[in-house]
Amino acid sequence: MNRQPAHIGQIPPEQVYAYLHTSPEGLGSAEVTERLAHIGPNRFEIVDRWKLLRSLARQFTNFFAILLFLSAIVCFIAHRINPGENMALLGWAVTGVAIFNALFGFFQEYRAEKAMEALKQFLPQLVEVCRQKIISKIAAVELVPGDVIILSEGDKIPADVRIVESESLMVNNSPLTGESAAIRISPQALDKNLEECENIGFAGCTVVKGTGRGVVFATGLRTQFGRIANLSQTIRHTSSPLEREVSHMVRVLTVIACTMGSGFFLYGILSSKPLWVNLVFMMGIIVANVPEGLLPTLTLALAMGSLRMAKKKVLVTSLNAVASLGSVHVICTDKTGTLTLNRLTITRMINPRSGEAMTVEQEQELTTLALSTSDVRQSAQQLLGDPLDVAVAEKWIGLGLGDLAGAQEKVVRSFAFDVEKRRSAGVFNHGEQRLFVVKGAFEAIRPLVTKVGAAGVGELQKRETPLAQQLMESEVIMQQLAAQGLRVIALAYRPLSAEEETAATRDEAVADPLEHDLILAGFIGIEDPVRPEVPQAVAKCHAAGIDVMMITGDHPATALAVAAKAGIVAAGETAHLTGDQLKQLTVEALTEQLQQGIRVFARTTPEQKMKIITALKQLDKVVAMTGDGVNDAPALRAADIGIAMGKQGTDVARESAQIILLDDNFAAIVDGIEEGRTVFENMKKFTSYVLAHNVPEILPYLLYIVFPVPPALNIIQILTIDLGTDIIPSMGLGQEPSDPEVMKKPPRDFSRQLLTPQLVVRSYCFLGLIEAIWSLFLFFYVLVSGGWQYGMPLPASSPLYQSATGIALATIILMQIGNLVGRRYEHRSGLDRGVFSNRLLLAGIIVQIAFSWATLYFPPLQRVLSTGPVAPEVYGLAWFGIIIIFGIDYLRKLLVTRNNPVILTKDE
Amino acid sequence: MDRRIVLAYDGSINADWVSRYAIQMAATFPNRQLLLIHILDGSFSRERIEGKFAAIAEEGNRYGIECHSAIHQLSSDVFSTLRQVIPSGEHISCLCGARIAPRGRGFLAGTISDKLLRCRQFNVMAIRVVSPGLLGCPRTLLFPLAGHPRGFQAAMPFLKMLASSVKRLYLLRVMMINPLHFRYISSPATKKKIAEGYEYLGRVATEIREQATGFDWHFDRNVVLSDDWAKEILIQAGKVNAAMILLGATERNLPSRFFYGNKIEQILRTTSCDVGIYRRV
Repeated sequence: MNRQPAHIGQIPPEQVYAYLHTSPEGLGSAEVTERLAHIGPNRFEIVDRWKLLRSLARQFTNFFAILLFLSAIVCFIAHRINPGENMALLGWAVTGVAIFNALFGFFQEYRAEKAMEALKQFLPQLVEVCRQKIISKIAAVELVPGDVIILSEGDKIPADVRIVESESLMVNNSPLTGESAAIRISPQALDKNLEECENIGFAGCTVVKGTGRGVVFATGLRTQFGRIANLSQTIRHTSSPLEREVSHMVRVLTVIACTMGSGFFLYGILSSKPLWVNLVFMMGIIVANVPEGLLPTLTLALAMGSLRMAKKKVLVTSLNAVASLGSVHVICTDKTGTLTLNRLTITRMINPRSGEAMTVEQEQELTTLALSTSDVRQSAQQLLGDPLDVAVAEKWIGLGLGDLAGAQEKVVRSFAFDVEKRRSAGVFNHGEQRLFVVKGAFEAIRPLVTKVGAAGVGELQKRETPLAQQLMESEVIMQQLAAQGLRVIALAYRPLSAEEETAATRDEAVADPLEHDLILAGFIGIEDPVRPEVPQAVAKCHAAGIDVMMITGDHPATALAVAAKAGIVAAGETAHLTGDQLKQLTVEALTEQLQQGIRVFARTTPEQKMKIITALKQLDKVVAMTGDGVNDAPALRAADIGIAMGKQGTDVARESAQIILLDDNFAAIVDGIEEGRTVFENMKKFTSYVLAHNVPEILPYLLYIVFPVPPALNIIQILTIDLGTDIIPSMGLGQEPSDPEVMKKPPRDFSRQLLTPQLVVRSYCFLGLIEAIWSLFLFFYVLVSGGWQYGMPLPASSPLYQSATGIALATIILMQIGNLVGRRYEHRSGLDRGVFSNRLLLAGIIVQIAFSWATLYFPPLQRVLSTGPVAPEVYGLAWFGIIIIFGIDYLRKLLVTRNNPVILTKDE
Repeated sequence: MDRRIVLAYDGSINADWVSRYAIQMAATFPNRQLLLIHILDGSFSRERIEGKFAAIAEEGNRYGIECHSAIHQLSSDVFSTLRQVIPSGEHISCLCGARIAPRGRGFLAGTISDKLLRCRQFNVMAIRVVSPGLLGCPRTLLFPLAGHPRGFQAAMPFLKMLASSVKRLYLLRVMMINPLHFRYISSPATKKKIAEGYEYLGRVATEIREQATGFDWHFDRNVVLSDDWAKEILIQAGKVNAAMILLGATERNLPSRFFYGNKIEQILRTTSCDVGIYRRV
C-alpha cells in the first residue's frame, strides 16, 4: 500500500496530469468553462464595486459628521422660520466643515488601494497555454487549474504550476522568499513541503533562464502570491491610537453638546419660551460645545509634523501615522541595510590551521586568490558586482596590490557562483603557475579539500595529523569566526597540470572536473558593519521605554553579534528564537517568550513577522514593523505602523506601509518617534487651549435660557472664534519644538487619552470659567452703563447690544492670548521659552490683537459680526483679561509644582 | 456498526477533487471503505460516471481503500433519491461538493448539498475545493468556533476524519461586536471579550486533546474581535496559511440572511483555501 501524497509536488511528473484531471494535450473548452465557473478568474483582487462608496459613506456617518450635519439642518430650519438672522450662512459654514473633514478621511483611505496596483505588476497579461493540443496565447486571467502552460526565459509565472518538463529552468522566487538568487526547477517528485518544492513554479515569480512546461494547480487568490495579495488588501488596519483618542473625544463632546442642547431645549419648551428662542438656544449650545476648528487643526498639526519628518528622511504616507509613531512600544526591525550599512567589508583573514590572523603578506596572497574568483566591474565612481566580490576587490585595493584591471587580466577563466554548489571558481596565472581557485561556504568546499595550508605559507599540514582531524580543527576555527557575527568564506586552490590548463581555458569548460584535491588556503571573515548612528538610536529607544527587536533571515550567531553591537541585546546574550522554533510555538507561547525578553529572531521568513505582530498585539503593544519585500506587505499592513525601505524596498512594500524611510536608516525611525511624540504633546496643548473658549461661549446661552438677559454672543461670533481667530494660534502650539525630555518618558498609556478628565476640568472649570466671568462682566458692564436694566429685552440691531456683544467677543479673543502662552508648558509659565521662538504663535497673537480691535472699531467687520464700538478704557479692561487669565493660571502652576516639585523637572 | 464514508458524487470537477478528501477520510476508518453514489439526473451519462468511478476506485486501491459504487436512477428528485439510498445514522458520513450553482447563484444556498446538510439523517460535510494541488490533504486546518455551549461535540467526528493529514490545527473564536459599537469599543471591554474567547478555546482544546488522542498536532488558538465574522475567518485563514477552513453549518433564518447576507456563502465565494461545511446528525 502506497503512502498518500500530501501535495502535487510529491507526485511523479508523469502522474501529475491524472491527479489534476487534465492531459498533456491540455483541457477542452467545456472543462475550461466548468473550472472557470467553479474557481473563478485567475486574479487576486476581490472585486467590490461598493467599496469606495462604503468608505465615503462611513466618513459621513461618524459621530462628528452627523452632529455637524444636524446642526446645519437646524440652522436651515431656523433660517426658514426667521430669515432675518442669517442662519443659512451658518448652516452652509457648518456643512462645509463637515464635508471637508469627511472628504479628507476618504482620500486617506482611497490611497490604500494603490498597493494592489503595485502587486498586479507581478503577473503577466498574456500566457502561452496548451489546450486541446493547440498552443496559443491567452489572457492570464483565463487560466484554470489543469491548464498546461509553457514557460520560457523572461516570463512571469501566471499561476502556481507543477513543472512536468524543464530544460535548464531557473526561476527567481524573490517576490515570495526575498532571496534574489535564482533556483533551479526540475520535474522530479520531491518529499518536501509545497513551499520548498523545487518542482513548483510560483505565481508572481520570473523565469530567468531555460524553458519548461507545467500544469496549473492553483490560480488567483489560491496561489502563494495571491494569498499575500489577499492579505495585503483584506487585513484591517486597526484604528490608530490617535483615531481612537479623537473618536473618544468627539463622543464625549457630542454627548455633552446634545445633552445640554436637548435638555435646555426641553426646559425652554416647558417654561413656555417661544420656539424661535428655543431653537436659537439649542443651536447656540451645540455650536458652542463643538470645537469646529479642532479637527482641521489636528489635521494641520499632523501635516506639519509629517513635513518635519520628511526633513529627517521619514516620509509619511498616512497622517495618522505621525502620532501613531509617537505611541510605539516596540520596533521590529530588519537587519541588513536598516541596522547595518548593507556594505560587506572584510574584517578578518584567518589561517585555517592555526586560527591566527594572517600576516600582511598572507592577506595579500589570500586576497589575490579570492579576486580570481570574483566578478567585479569598475565604473567611474564605484565598484559594481556581487557585494561579496566588491568587498574582496576593495580589500585588494586597500592592501595596495596595484591596478585592479591588471590583476583581472591574469584571470583566464571564471566560473560564476553556482547556487546549488554554493561556490564560485576561477583559473588565473600566478607567477609561473596557473592556479584553480574555489571560493564559497566551508561546508561546500570541505569535501573537495585534501590538504590544509595557508595562503603564502609553503608548508602544508603535518604528515602525522590526519586530514579529517585537520578539517575538524579548521571547522572549529570557522565556527568561532561565525560566532563573532562574521560571514565566513573559505578559499581553496590547487595548481593545474599542463593538460588541465588547456582544458580549463576552453569555452565549454566547466569547473566540475577541476574540483578535487584542493588545498584549503584560508578563511575570510566578512561583516556588514552596524551603522554608526544605530547604537545611539537604540539607546535612545531604550531610554524612551521602547523595545527594539531584530528579525532577520541570517544565522543566529550573526544576528546576535549584530544585535549586541547595535545595543539591542547585551554582549554575550544568547537568547534568540529561530524560524523553526517560531514555527513550533503557539502565539501564547510566543507571548511568554517575548515577556521573558527575547529580542532576536534569526533564520525567520517574512511570513513569521505576522506571528510576531499577533503576539505583540496580544501584549497590548503598539508595534512598528519594517519590511522591504513583496511578502512583507501583509505584515506591514497588520502592524500598527508599517515602515518600508525607500532604497531597498519594493513598490508593494512601500504602498503597504504608512512610513517610508528614505535612507533605510534605523536612526530615522527614532527621529520619527520623537517627532510623533512631540506632535501628540502639542495636540494636548492646543486641545486644552481650544476647549477653554467653549465655556465663555456656552455660559451666555445658559444665562439666556434661564434668565431674562440677552445672549452675550451670537452664533456667528462663536464660529468666528472657533473657525477664525483660534486656528493660527492652535497651529502655533502644534509647531512647538520637541521637549528634550520627550524621549526620556515611557510610551503613553492607552488609558491616558487625549481628552483626560484633568484636561477637561482645567479647560472647562478653570480656564474657561475665568474667560467666561471676565467677558460676561464686561458685557453686562457695557449694557448697564448704556442704561439697560435686568429683564429689559434688547433687539439684535440695538447699538447698545452690539457694543456689549462686541466687547464680550473681543475679551474672549484677547484672553485666549494669555491662555495660549500658558499652554506652552504644563507647569512652567510659557514666557520662558520666548514668544519670538515660535513665529506661528507670534502670528496668532498678532491676528488675535488685530481681530479684537477690528471687532469693535472696523465698520465692515462690525456689520458682519453685528458688533459695535466701546469706550477705549473698556477695551483696555478687555486687555487686562490677558493678565488675569495668565496670572491666575501661573499661580495654579506654582501651587501644583510646590506640592510636587518633581513635576517641574519633567518640564525642563 | 461500521463507520463509513459515502461520497455523493455529482460528476463535476469539484466532485472529482472532493473524491480525494473521501479517500483520505476513508483511510481513517478501520474498514477503509468508500461508497460512491451518483444519481443519474441527465447531466452526465452512465458511461462517463462509471469511467470516473473507476478512476477514483483505482486511486483508492493504490492507498488501500476499498471503493464500492452505486449509480441510481432518479426517482422524484436528486435529493429525495439520495435520502433513500444513503443509509441513515451517525456511523455514516456523507461527503458532497459545494460547487457553483447555475448562473452564479452561490455555492451552497438552495443546493442539494444544502438540503443534505439540513436533513439530519447522517453526518454531512460539503466541501468546496479551490486548491486541487493539495490532493485533499490539508496540513493546516483552521477551525472557527462560534462558542457553542456543547463545545466541540458537533465538530469532533469531522476533525477525526481529517486527523491523519492535519499537522497544524488552529482554533479560532471570533467575538462578534455590533458594527456601531465596534468602532468605539474600549480597551477594557476588548480585553474582557478576548479573555472570554480564550477561556472557551482553552476548554475546547482540552476536549480535543482528551478525545482525539494519538495525533501529533501542533495546536494554536486565536481570539479576535470583529463586526464581521466571515471576513475575519478569511483573514485568519490567510494569516495562518490555512489549507482548509472547517465550518459548522448555521441555522440563520430568512430575515437574518436578508439583513446580514449569507456569511457562509461569502466565505465559500472568496476563500483562498478549501472549505468544509459540516453538520452532525
